Amino acid sequence: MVTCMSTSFDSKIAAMAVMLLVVAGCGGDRSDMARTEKQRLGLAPMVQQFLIEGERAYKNGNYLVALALTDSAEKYASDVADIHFLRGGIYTDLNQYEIADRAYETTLELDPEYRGAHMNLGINHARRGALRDAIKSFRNEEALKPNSNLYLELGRAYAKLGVADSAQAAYEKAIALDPTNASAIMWLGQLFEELGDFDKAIEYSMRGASLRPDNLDYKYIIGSQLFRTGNVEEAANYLRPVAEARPWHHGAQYNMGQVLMRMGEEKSAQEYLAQADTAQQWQQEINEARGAVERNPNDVRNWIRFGEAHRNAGMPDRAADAFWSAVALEPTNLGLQTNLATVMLESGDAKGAVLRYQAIVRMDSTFIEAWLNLGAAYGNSGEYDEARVAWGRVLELEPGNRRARAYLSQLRQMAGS
Amino acid sequence: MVGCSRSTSQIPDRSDAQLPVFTPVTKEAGLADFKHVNGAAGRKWYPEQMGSGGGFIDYDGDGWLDILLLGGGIWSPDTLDHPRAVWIYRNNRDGTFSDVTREAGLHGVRAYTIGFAAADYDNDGDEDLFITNLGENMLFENTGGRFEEVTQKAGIQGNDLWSSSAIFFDADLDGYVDLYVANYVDWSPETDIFCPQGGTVKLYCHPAVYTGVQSRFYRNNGDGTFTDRTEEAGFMPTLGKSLGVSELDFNFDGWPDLAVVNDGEGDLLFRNNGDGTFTDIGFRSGFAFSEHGEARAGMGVDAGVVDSTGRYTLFVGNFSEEMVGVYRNVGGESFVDQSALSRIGFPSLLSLTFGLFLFDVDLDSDLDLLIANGHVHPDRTGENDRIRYRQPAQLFLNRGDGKFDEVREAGGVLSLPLVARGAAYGDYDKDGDLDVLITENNGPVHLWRNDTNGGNYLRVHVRGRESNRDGLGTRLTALLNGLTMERRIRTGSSYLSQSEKVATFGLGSANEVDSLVVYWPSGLVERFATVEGNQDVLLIEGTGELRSANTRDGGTAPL
Repeated sequence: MVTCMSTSFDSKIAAMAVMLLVVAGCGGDRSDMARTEKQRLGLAPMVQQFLIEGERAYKNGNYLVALALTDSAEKYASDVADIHFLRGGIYTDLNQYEIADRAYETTLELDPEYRGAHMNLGINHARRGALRDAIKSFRNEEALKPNSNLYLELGRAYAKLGVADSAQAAYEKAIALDPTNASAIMWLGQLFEELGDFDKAIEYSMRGASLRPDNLDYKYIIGSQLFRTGNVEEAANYLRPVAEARPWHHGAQYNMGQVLMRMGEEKSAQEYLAQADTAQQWQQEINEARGAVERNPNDVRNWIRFGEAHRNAGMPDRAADAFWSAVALEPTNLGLQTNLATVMLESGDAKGAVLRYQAIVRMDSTFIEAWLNLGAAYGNSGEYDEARVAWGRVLELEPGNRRARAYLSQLRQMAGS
Repeated sequence: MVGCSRSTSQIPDRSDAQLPVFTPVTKEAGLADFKHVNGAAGRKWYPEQMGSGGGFIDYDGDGWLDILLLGGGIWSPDTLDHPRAVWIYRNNRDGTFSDVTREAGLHGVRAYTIGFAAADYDNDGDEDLFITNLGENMLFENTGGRFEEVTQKAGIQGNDLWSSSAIFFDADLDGYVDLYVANYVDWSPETDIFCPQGGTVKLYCHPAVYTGVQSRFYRNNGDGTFTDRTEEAGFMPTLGKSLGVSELDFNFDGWPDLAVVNDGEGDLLFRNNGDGTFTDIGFRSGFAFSEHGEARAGMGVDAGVVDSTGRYTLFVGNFSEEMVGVYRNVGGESFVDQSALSRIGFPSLLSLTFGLFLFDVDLDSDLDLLIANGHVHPDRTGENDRIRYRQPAQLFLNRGDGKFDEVREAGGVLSLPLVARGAAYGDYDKDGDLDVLITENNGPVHLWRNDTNGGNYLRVHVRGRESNRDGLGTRLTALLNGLTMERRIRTGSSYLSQSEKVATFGLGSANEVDSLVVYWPSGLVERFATVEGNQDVLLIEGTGELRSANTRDGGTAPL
């Protein structure tokens, strides 16, 4: 099954949007204020703080901290639906759907009108292939208050069920509610593509992409649609930037190779096809690792394998997501913490990496590799004084450490120049 | 109740043409005793879910299609109660069949049978039989309607693997048909892998957990023996988990090419180099993968010209949520997956397709598509509301331009939920249209008589003289009101099964074809102007004469 756009990502954003609204107290019309909204007004500041920070940690993928904060909040206010809703989101990301479902059900027991809980339950049903149940949940959410992303998810469920007209209707509602919902527009285009109506498919894909002109996923979709309709040169214009930016994107590499083959540029085509072959192997390893995670999300080794598979394929940001999940299972495993910090650094999140390394050296102040990497993370952030301190700490622990000396020497040279 | 939306008219058309009608005749035809046995005993051994095939063969050479079915097998070699591995039914020429397995010498076959291909490999005028097994395959020589196993004598032994589909074709155009045997994965009871769901309950494994094994190519020596030339012919290495194989000539150079589809690995397109050796161009041609560069679970395969471009399109049956692959040749050696554009993609999205074939079901001149579906995981399919273990077959009518409309039927054979595997067509009742045979895993066979009020027809039988006697690889084109129809005489295609080796042209409302051209594998081309419809004709290579082969009223065809 082709997943050209990440529904889980969109769903998470949708769920987060609901959370942000409720925690910030933007409940809308006060005259029909729901139970939770009333409850929030009287929420102890400490609990509110736990929730806000928990939500932030969740958004950053720091599931362990997010779970700890929900536990803390629950200790003081167990009947607050927000807490269980947040927990549901965390466990969903950890692929622990049964726990997540229970959390959402608790949310709804506490507040039957809680916005987002039915929707997220539906998303979890859909992920497990229980599409009819998913649709029921989405319809329950619709009865509370429809929103554009809800109809997007509803459309996805109908499309997966093969009910094209209902899918189309749902997507169109999503777009009517929010004409800037690029995902909904793209998925409607995807539906037309599956139905064989490429004129409409390309029209909608172009429209969606115009809302997010830098989105490489969208470029890829348009490129592959153009290729299949015989617009070879135009397809190349869309596919080339995707293939160049994403060596791991086997679809882009493969289609670019095919396009060039059609254009008679066989030598260049072979290069892309060779890269497609490599990317295919990466993807296969990722798929197998994903399968292991889905079968047993409680086994930390599966998450590590999933993370490493992404890292090998040159996707450090997705590797970081996997390592966050691993760390949530074994929070005291310093090796895991280090892996996580490393991929954060590789993905360009130097500040996040610094925070990770700081956490690691707090747990083990004699961990030389962590001090070395902390210095490197500081250096990448331009915080040279802090880097000097970190590498200096390495020399205190191991006076002859060559790497620390070399780094410090580089710092001195930079200062001199 | 049958419904189908067709937005463009067919050329030529029949004003009184109806949508296809099939009548299930399994019981009245005398085939109800057959049941495939997969040996399942709770151990969830991988091969249990994959068999088996069946199809049409004229084993006694009387011009009436007989039916051969593979019975599967069980695992214990000690039991006295072996199921029958092979079943052959003789056509009684009245719409019924008689079980003649014992008389045909196939009653004592001991094997876990999977699929078959039948052709006259020794050019002696009768159809010989190759059966693929889990374990050593078997070659049977037809000696006047009785089969004798000649596996060892013919040099086919030594393939103690899990074979799937097989095809006879004349790779080097020497007048003797060669044999390609698709092999699947390295599995035995001893190497069975425990594939659990939730940690404890064993389920059928995903093919990814098993290693693929090399398919084999046997060159016919012309003296009743074969030599394994897999490597020399360019078929090695392809460790591809192969399940289906189809012959075509996509570049029209007169040399037969092969399409081989694999389960979870890239599909293969072997271009004949013009000397009987082959080069795999699957990857570079665009045939290997889906439109997004992903390997799919290829099972059945067929190839044909389905539009007015004159170019080939390859159809590949895939797993549920993968769509049937529709790879259209767009010139040169390039193929583009047009599953969605063909309008087959979305209706087949949830189907798990094994057998599939192209045939002109309504005799309106273009090739339609039938796909036989059925899942492999009785325990997992409950997760998705629309993906069932038992699935109906689907029929797609060609609009004439390579776009198809699914025939939706309530209450007929196309609404029967099946665990289908093999699928084949043939005109067993000699009424000019094509009937359908479908096999089920661990279940019965289904014979569906075509009772469509379709168009007129012309059916062309061939017999090679310089070419191989079956005329395998013969290309036939018929011109009708400016429309060129293309057919090919082949074995293989579909999944584990064999269809008849006759070219059927649907004429719609026309009474004759303007011309018929026959391109023999030997290179000889024979042309015929204005051939009347509604008849079976026989062309013997080089005679320049079309003989009537109508036998509907009981006569024996000179076939």
